[in-house]
Amino acid sequence: LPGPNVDGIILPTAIRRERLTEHGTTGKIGYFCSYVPKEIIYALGKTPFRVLPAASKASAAEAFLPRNFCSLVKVTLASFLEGGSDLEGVVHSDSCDGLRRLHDVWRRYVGVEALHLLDLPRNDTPVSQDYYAHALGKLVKKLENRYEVKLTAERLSSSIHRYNEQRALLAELERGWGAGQTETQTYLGLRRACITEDPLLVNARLRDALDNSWSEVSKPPQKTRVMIVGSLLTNDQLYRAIEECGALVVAEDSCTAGREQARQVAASGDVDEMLRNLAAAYLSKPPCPRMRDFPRRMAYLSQLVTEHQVSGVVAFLYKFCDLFMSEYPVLRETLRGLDVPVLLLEDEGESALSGQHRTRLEAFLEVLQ
Amino acid sequence: VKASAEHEGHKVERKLTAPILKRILRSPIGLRVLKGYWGFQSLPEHVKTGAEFALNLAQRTYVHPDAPVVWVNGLFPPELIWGLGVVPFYPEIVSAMTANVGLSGPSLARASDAHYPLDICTFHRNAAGLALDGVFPDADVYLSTSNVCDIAAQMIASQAFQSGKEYFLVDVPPSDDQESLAYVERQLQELVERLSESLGITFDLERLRQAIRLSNQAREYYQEVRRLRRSRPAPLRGSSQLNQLALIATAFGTPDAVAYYRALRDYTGDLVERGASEQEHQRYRLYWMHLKPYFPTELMSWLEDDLGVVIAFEEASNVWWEPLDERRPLQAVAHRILSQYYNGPIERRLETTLRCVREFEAQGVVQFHHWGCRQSTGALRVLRDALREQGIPFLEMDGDCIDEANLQMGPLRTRVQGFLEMLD
Repeated sequence: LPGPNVDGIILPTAIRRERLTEHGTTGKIGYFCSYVPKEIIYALGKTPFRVLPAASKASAAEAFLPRNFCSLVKVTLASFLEGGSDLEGVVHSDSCDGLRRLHDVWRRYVGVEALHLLDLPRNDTPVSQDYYAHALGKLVKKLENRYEVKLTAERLSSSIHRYNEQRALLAELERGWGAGQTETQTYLGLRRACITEDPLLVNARLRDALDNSWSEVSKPPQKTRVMIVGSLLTNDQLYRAIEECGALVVAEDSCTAGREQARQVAASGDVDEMLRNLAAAYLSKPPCPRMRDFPRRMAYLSQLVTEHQVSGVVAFLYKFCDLFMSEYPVLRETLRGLDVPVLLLEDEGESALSGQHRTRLEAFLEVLQ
Repeated sequence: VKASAEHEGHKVERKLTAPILKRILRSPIGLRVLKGYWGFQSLPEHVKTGAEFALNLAQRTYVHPDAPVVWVNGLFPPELIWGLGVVPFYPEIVSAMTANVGLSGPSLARASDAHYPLDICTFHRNAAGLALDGVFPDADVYLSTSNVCDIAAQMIASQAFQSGKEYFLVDVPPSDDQESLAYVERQLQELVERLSESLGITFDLERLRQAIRLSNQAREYYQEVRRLRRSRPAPLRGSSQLNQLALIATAFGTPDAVAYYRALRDYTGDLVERGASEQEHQRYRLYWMHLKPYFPTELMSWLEDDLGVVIAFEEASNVWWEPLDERRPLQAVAHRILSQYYNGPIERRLETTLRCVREFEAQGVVQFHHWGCRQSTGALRVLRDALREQGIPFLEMDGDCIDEANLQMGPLRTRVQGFLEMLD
């Protein structure tokens, strides 16, 4: 692997004084939403780290958030209240009610610095893209001042290239996984690495995985083909449970897959132009329910179902997540129109899949088979 | 309106069903009879004005739509609605009104049958049930702002999708600065252009300016009411003010709002002048946060009449916006949207709370937790700790504004009594 000063990035004195990791970044910055461009954080010499729940239960957060509050936000908060963190700071975003209020609680009770609250538009129009580019510029300034580092066009361009490469590699791996050429566990591990680790290292691992993937399609096509819909799909047990029932997960709609992937971003021009490119790419990626774009979202989901010949959908939704929960009746109707049944499982943010979840899943898949 | 009538000793028929309501609302005779009924009641002028406004609106949405009907969320600026010359329909507000006449139980069940999960806000779940039952009028277009409440915009967008009609979202960022102001103003400009095209309406800038002038007049009267409410004894019941919130959301920008708030100002001024009050028993002065149950319940009369709790002022009665500048009407409306105290970081809500506690000399603060409302409860721990640091007692009351099955009076009584003992 190349050394620290790759891609023409000239590290400023303040950063040079610090101990560099072997891959060129000097620490990790957390973020909470797939609409936050990782490219900016990485270009400033930090590893973008998508905050994933680490606690097994939300208990530690009960005193800080209401009992009927988004279970993902609660278990995330619990993860930081329970244990230490190696994050230098976090970038909050105006993604939803849950994350807005997490920002309020965080600043007072969590010992990890809240670096910025990012304005995050819910429309994908030229006006919204302009505003998001401006909001990203504010984020850049905040991080530049905080870490005494200057974002140059070269740095940003290099970072964009790195993530463009990652998107292409991951998409290829995903296609291979869907076709049975890669183990689910390998795919899930790498997918998680894409949002939590230095892309320099992860891209190399992705290339290795692709080189080592099987050339023969091993998944028998007659198995029941399942799609999972959710927000942050981090529970590997769900995939295992589906596979143990003799079914295959062939498609996903989540912040960790599909919706996580912005399209390729143009890496030319000055910093402002690249920020506009990032804004446009992120706002136009497959929409999360937060965008309220039902026509585009339902069309996207229908396309996934058709393309992957899905025979059943598991909606694995965080309990008390208003955006996904209130979308559910429409999702159900849309899938009914495609003659595809759906099972709703509410995720209370616990790391283990409950017995009730398993039983319902088994019954659902039995019916499908 | 129903609560005011009950307060005056009138009994209102509760055995209303969705099909009956649907027929009444779509019947010219039904609405005329209702208007006549209210006209003959001996109610304060402002109550009659409010009722007439609501019934006229019902007539324009259900019976004689003389302009395009637009579904909007409760935080959409009404000045822009009236300035556009369209007729608004507010699902979440009508949801509360139907709870008031005992309809929410069946509607919530209807929504559950349609797979709306039980954990989402009952204002919107009830509205979904009513929409499924055909109680709501047809819409020509659907609009919402994104601020404060996630689910309000989500439900409007969902209804638009299901009906195959257009939906416009005004995205509201948490920042309140020149750039966010310009951003919201540009969206409003775009909205006006797109609505003019899709609805075939002609946007009349002078009509919007007139709506803004009327809004400013109503605001002035309402601020006078606010000043009068500092008096002791407190002239108005907090519960009656929590019943008239629909006017804040819907009527600003109309002559009816000016008439309503002028009448309310006169009514309140008269009470203050006479040293009289709507509430005889006054013992504790509290600041009330968020809303109250809108279904028939003994809670509010137990608090006010039995315990002597004076709701000196309500968070939801805050007119948060400055007078609107008619010279730049869209910018003024954008500023009104952005400056809402729930928008952005919790500090804005906290500042509003502290200002009101001081202004109304409240001994403590009560938050009514509406089940399923994330924005009002999400950062309460921060608020509670901040109030505690200032020595202001704070009580959280769990309940529901729409679903009576979700309000447990037993535990509430214990909590409230314990809290009031502390104030003694």
